[in-house]
Amino acid sequence: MHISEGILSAPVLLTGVILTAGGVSLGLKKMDYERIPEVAVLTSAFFVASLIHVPIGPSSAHLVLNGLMGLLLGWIAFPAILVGLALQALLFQFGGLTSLCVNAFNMAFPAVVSFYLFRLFNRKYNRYTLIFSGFLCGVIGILGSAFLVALSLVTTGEAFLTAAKLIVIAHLPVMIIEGGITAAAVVSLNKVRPELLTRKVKI
Amino acid sequence: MDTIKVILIGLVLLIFLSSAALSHKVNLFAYTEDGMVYTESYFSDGRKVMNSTVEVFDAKKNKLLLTGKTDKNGEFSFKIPQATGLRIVLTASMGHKNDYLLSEDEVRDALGMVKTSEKSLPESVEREKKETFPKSMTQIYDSRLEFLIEQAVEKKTAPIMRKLIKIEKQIQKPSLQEILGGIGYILGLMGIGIYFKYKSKR
Repeated sequence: MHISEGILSAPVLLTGVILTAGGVSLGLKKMDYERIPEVAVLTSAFFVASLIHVPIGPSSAHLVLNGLMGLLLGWIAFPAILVGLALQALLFQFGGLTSLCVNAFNMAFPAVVSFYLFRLFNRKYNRYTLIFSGFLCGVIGILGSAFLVALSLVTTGEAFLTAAKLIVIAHLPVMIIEGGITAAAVVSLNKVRPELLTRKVKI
Repeated sequence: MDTIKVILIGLVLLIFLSSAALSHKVNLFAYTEDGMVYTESYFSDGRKVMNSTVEVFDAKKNKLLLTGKTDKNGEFSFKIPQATGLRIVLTASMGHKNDYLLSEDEVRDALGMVKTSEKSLPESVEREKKETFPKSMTQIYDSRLEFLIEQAVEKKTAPIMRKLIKIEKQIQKPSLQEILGGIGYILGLMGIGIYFKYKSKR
């Protein structure tokens, strides 16, 4: 999921910078004083999740947890994921510093999508809609990122469909695992802190 | 605060899980032997990088010299094209890329261009050699000896080489310090965020 240094061309990198800057500024505006600790804890989870490798499937893939971050944080997922990715690039050499913004957008945008999706499904919610939409958000987080990564790679000459197919297939096991993790997290959060899930959509 | 507690416990669990299982970044390692360059590539969890493009560049002029593909063991070898530093670039699928620099010295060494044979033996040895062997035999003696020494050295250094490759692989894995350091940075940023938001509230 992390695109390395020196693969993407300048226009793609620049587009990434602009889109991510927009998302981050929107996210920072929405980040209230009370929410900062929650954001930090989720950022730490994101930062560490990338170290958990899923040893199934044809390629090397790891957890991302962007679906879970998105459904809890909404647009704040942008600054959170940017910080997490920057630290991963600096400390683990995952991805690269120049491709940081493109990677951040690729992971944060599906996160924001899953935020709205989750609320769409849970206007009136019960245990089953929670499990279903939690699973769906986990899957959408990875699936969306896979498509965006494939899209970013188009300019490097990799045909979109082949690249997309390859990335999606490589991440199928991760998708299912993340779906499960997200669903479990949502169900347990509903027990201990239901207000986190029903938080109003601020636009 | 219950949620935070739950997530924190999860986080600690993640750290312990992660020490065993690692994630993805490609690594490339190259060494020279007898005029050939051998490369090995693997993801940071140790999985081999199969069927990926390897490009070899002149390290100074940045000119593409040759390209190839890794086999199913993630290996690719080629004859040294020229006696300069070589930059070997691996491009794996899904936007993974890494490179390895072979210095000019290493390349020259592998080609046998460093003329060790020109260094003359100490005089005493030279004299002894002449006394023990007739002239025609000293040449055989020299080349045979060189071969034997090379073989012996190789035998002795092979385990060290293997160990070095293993250490190199280990260095590329994220360490516990780095993981904890990263979490520390995030908590620091949280502090900064709270500081500014708090001031603006009053």
